[in-house]
Amino acid sequence: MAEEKSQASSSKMLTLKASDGVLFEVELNIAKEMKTVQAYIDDCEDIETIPIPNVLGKHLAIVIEYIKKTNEEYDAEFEKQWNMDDLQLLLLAANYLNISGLQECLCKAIAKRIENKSPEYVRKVFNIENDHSPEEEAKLRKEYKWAFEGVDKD
Amino acid sequence: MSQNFDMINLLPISLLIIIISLLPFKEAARTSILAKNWMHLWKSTTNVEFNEHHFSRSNEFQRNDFLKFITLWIENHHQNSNIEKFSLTLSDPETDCEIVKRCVDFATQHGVKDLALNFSDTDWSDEEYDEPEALFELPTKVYEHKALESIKLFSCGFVATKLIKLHSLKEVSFGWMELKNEAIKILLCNCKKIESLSIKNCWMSTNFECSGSDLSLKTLIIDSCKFYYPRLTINAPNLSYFKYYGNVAYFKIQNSLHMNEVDINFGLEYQYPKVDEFIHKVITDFKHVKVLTVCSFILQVLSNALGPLLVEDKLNTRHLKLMTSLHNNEYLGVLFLLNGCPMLELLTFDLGFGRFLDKAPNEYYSSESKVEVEVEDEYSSDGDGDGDGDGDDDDDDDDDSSYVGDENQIGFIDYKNICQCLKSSLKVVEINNFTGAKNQILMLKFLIYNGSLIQRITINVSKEGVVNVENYHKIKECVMTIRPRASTDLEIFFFLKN
Repeated sequence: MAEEKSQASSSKMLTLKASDGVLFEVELNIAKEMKTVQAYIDDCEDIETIPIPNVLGKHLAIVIEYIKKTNEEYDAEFEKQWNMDDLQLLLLAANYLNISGLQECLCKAIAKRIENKSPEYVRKVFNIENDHSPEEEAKLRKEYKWAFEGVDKD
Repeated sequence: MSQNFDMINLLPISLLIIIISLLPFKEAARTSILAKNWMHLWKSTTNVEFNEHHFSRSNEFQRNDFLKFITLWIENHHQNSNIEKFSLTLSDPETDCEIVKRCVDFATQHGVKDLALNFSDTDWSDEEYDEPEALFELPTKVYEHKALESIKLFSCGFVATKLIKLHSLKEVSFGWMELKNEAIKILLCNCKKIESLSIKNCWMSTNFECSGSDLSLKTLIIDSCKFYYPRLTINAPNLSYFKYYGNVAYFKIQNSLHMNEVDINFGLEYQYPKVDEFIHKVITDFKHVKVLTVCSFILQVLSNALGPLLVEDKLNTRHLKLMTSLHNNEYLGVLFLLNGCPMLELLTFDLGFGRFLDKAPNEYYSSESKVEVEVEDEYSSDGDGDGDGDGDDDDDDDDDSSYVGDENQIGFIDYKNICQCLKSSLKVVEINNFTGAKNQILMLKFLIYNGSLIQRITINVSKEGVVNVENYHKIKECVMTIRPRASTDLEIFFFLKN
């Protein structure tokens, strides 16, 4: 009886509904990589369509593809295709869906892109408004002067 | 396309901290000035590095500032947040041994998994050092910290029989200390999870032996070490990457079928060896290896010792990296290797490395990639690329006089019939630090005339080497117009690099 159930579940399909209404049919074992989805299934066994309210269709598509293809080689090239905005939205998706491998990959990619760049550059990238007054900034630069030597000018 | 809102605010703090923790500590500190809400965020980084070199201003090490910073950091740190990586670089540790101990306490209390302690003196250099005693002893607390997965000790003495309590160790790195083979043996036998062992600037008065049928070891790096008995026994069935840099050593390799990448660099050698037969064994020991990096010393010794050693042993190499200047003394060695790798797919030249080993042992001068080797180009007036019939293509000829300073020594052109890889497997060639010197152009011609499957040649030109942009374009033009091309698919890419 248990064996039958597991055989059935490995080919069972599930539908994921992105925030903009786009639907994705995925195999159960793919969906299970998203721990959030797994928890959903655990709670309500017979569910067929799971809403993913925080993730746009275009990003959910990328996430699903990642789960299907992930390996050392794929991961190394994966992040290169996306711009900084997409990387962050993908990271939010990976975080919400609780996919640790993807989350790690994206965090590393973002860190790599801001490494060795000046604060001005990083602010631009993340769209951060500088709400430090010039005095406050000067004070911080002095306090951590050891960290501010030899910085890339962009 | 940028959204018009502060997206990083959407990322939860936990993710921001993960990202900051992936940055080097110095960079993490800089995020404090991004905005008000970033001011203290970086202090939750799980990657802490206290490095005295960050506190040097105009070569004066601000030691007091550094120590004050460490003390404040430790005092103000949240009890709850954990530290994954902790690194301390401090010279003359005895003078402030209390702080060192506090650092180690701090790290272990916060669950550190990756610990690095570097007490080496900045005056010590790779080539000359008096084998100083380790400047500090590893604090006892560390031996009890079972969570440790990675440890790096530079000039920090340890007791091997206590270190083995750390069963979770995966990466071990030692530097600037005396090592006994017993210590390595005990460590590898008892800490079964060790996958990576690196020893740098150490000295051993005993044989080096790294063997065990159940070793998990995947990576072994031996860098600038002094061996009283330079015989290294390596028998690690899971070993995938082996890198050696230093003086000539004799390897006894067993169970090497899983070795994927090997890098042998006898770059600390200045003189041609008195006995050179061993060089052949160095190459055949690694014949299963897919990625092989070979240094100029080996190329030169091969070139000279070739006569009786031209063997039928073929290497399984798919990617060959040559550290060379392509000067006269290296050519035959290069050819020998190309000939010996019938399945070679990728060939990399790292130009500008290696000394010119003269057979007279006391003479050497550092090789420059700009040294022009006066070699006549047989093809310059020969339109159909057939070349002249004659040349030094007699493989068994061990004529010493044809090697050093022989201006017509371009025997490699005549070897085109035996480099199997050029006809059947070589697809990609990379050249780094290209300067357009004659010998480099000749090698390119040899490859282009004969490599019928080559799809891509990437040439990275060094800005320094070509001197000016006009030169760069001249060189580029010269290479792009090399004809005939054996491969119909060939694309050549040029890049100007710093």
